[in-house]
Amino acid sequence: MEEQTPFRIGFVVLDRQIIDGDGRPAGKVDDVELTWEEGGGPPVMSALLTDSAALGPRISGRAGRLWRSAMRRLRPSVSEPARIAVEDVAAFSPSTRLTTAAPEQANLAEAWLRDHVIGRIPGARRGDDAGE
Amino acid sequence: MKRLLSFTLGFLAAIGGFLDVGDLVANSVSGARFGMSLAWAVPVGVVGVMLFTEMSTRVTVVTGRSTFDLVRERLGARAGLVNLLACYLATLLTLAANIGGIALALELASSIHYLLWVPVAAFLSWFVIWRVPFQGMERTYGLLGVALIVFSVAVWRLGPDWGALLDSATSFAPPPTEPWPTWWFYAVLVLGAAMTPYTVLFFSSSAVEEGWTAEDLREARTNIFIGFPFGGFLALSIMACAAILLHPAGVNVHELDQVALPAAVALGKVGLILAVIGFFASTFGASLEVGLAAGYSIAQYFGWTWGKTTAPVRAARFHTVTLLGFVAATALILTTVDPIKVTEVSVILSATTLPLTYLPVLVVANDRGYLGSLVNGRATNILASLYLVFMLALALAAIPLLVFTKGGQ
Repeated sequence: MEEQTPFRIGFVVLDRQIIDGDGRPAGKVDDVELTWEEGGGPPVMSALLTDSAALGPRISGRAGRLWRSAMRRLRPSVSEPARIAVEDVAAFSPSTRLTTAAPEQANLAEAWLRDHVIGRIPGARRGDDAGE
Repeated sequence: MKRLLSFTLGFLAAIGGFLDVGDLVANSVSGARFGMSLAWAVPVGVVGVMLFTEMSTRVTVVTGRSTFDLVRERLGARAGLVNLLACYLATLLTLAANIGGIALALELASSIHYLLWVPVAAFLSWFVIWRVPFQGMERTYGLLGVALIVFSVAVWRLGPDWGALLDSATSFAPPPTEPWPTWWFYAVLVLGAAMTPYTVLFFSSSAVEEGWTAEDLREARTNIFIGFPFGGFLALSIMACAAILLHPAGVNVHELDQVALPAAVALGKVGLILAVIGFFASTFGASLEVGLAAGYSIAQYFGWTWGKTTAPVRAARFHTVTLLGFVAATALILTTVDPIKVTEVSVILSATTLPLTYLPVLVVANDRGYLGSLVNGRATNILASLYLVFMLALALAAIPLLVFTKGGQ
């Protein structure tokens, strides 16, 4: 019989870099979602949460509360952290590789800053490699 | 020939990358006060920074993982965040110090008050990060920074009593008129200036920026193992200049022009011009590196796209954070705080955060799952562990010494 090594969420999943289907960095695994199936049994990891807001509950104490309230004020329209279903994950370690694109919601801050700040500075579209 | 050229440029960049306003000030101040009795701290610091820069560059090049990526993975969200904040604060102060340093160098060259130069210096640094390609940027200031060799020539031209210098360098004790705590405070200053954490962060991240792979590791190592000691040699020259000329005269160094004084005395106008060019290049180069390092650390912790080589629109968060870092550092210097004092505090703060960055690097450098056969050897581990204990002692002593000696008075 094949010996099963325990799958440690804290070590293999949490705080790992997420790489989306196109090979681009898409944040960190800030928290995980556990679901209890009907009829009892142990909880199952159903999704990864990636969002600086999801970090709040993981930083305990006053700093965590401060983080959460700051995040709420920064974006009142978004209440839930970005969610990635476990089925979309191709590999967990060393980096979390997705088979799909990252959820839209994970890129809200990036898109806003791109459109309103960085994109407005001349030369923002040019990288070091010619043609970009 | 092309390889040779690229090698030369690479190690010149490492020299320029090693020296910043912290090294200029720490070495000159301690030379003027303690002669050569703190000379030991320079090689000790250089070996430490070489050891850990090589280690983190190896980790980054082989695994493609950046330093703060690993810091968070190994320490978790909370301890990683504490680590990030401490390092970011130290990095921001170092950035402020170097922007102040550029402004002081420009004041030396133009006689226009440094505060007027501060916004110019900050804007120029940010603009270079925004527009100039990575390699060109790194090599230009590296090359100009070699102008600091004027201090080595000055030592020789000043015709010192070599025996007395050597006696002072091997005494391992302060001059009779100085107390031990103050001497130790300046020892931490010289060590901290040589081992600033941003060097490790910048060097390993720049390996990603330049697209290095495991095959380039040899070149990276050569740059580190030749470039950094040469930078240390220049730092020692600055200390020796102060020890020869300023120490007997009882001059206390409070200004950047006092750091340049020995070069001017020994070599006249040419000496002064070269010293000012060297100051400008090393502080300017450092402000680019530190500004980027500040952005790298935050982006790597949160897992954003980062990098100066990608078009800014594709790394909007990284570029915003970098820009904000420059704004904050400039604001700090514009409050008219003494840039030399900011420099000293930034170096002390860096010294206290050293173990935070270096410990995760050492842990990961031993992980066969990541590095395969390229893990640390036994000798590297013994040396690195010794350094870590030593740095922990430095970190614990730095702030008490700062308070107790009232900033080394």
